[in-house]
Amino acid sequence: MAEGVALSKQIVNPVNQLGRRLRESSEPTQDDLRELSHILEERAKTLEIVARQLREIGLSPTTRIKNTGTIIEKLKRESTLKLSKIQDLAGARIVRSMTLDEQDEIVSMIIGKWPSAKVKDRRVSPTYGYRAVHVIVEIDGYFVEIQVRTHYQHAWAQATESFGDLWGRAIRYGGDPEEPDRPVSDGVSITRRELIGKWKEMSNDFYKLAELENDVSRIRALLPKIEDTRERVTQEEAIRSLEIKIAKKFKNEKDIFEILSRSLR
Amino acid sequence: MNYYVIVFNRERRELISLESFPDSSIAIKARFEKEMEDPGSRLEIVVLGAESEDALKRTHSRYFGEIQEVTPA
Repeated sequence: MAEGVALSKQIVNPVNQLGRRLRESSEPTQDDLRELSHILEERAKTLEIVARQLREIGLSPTTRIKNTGTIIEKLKRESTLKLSKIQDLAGARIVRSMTLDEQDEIVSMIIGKWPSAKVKDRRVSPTYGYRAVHVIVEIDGYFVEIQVRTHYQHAWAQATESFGDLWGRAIRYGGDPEEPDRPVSDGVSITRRELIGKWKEMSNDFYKLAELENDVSRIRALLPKIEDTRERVTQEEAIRSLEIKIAKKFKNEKDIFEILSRSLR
Repeated sequence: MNYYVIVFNRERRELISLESFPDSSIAIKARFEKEMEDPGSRLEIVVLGAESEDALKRTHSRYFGEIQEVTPA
């Protein structure tokens, strides 16, 4: 089957019936979990094809099959969602230390490979602080979600996952942490809810920092092409001015990013 | 491409085990078997694919705090 071809009802209906049983059951049966596992094996084959093609265009993805608990959680959270329509049962992730322009280039490369892919750009309008670009590819009626993340976006997302491990996954979907009014640790006055609020603001600050670094990178790329000496000096001064701004206004963000990078390494 | 089954204790933020497999189907079957060992467990059991363990640690660093057991399957 070709890219974008819809699955037949004979395939889709049993999958969605399984999804309904998983949503409605307080404890899924072993048979249903086995059926889900078989469906995921199929999705993994599609994911392998996507990963291979990503490697062919010079990218280095890792892949992930959504785990059983989060599939059921998602079905229960989104009451009208059909199992066959979940776009991230199979996913690939590309993480690079790169500028926002370079992130755009990678997304363009992926779209070049799958022209009918859908792009969800969560950089300007993040989802509860989460920023990345997701490209949804459809092959043989199955979806594969490719996450493209810069180093800042990834560090923020991984730390948020860890907050979710500690204080409940609701944080990731805009909910409060468990025991929201509890101080984050003994002798500290800030509560969990306040810290999570500040952490979401930090995503905006990381993004502003990335935008400035992107500006610096653009000007640097232009410098060799500028023949007029006075114009070159002007642009070099613009770079210095942006770098000073980054150093002064985003020192905290840089420090936090370094700490995160070390702890997440 | 290698496939890894990771068992992660989210409450303690601790990697319990990491097993590698040459094939995704075998890895998913292994995950299912692990899930059946302790149904309803709050452990996160996940299947990831990567060129190497190092690549995995870069993109899914959250799982790699402390490793109790690393076993090739």
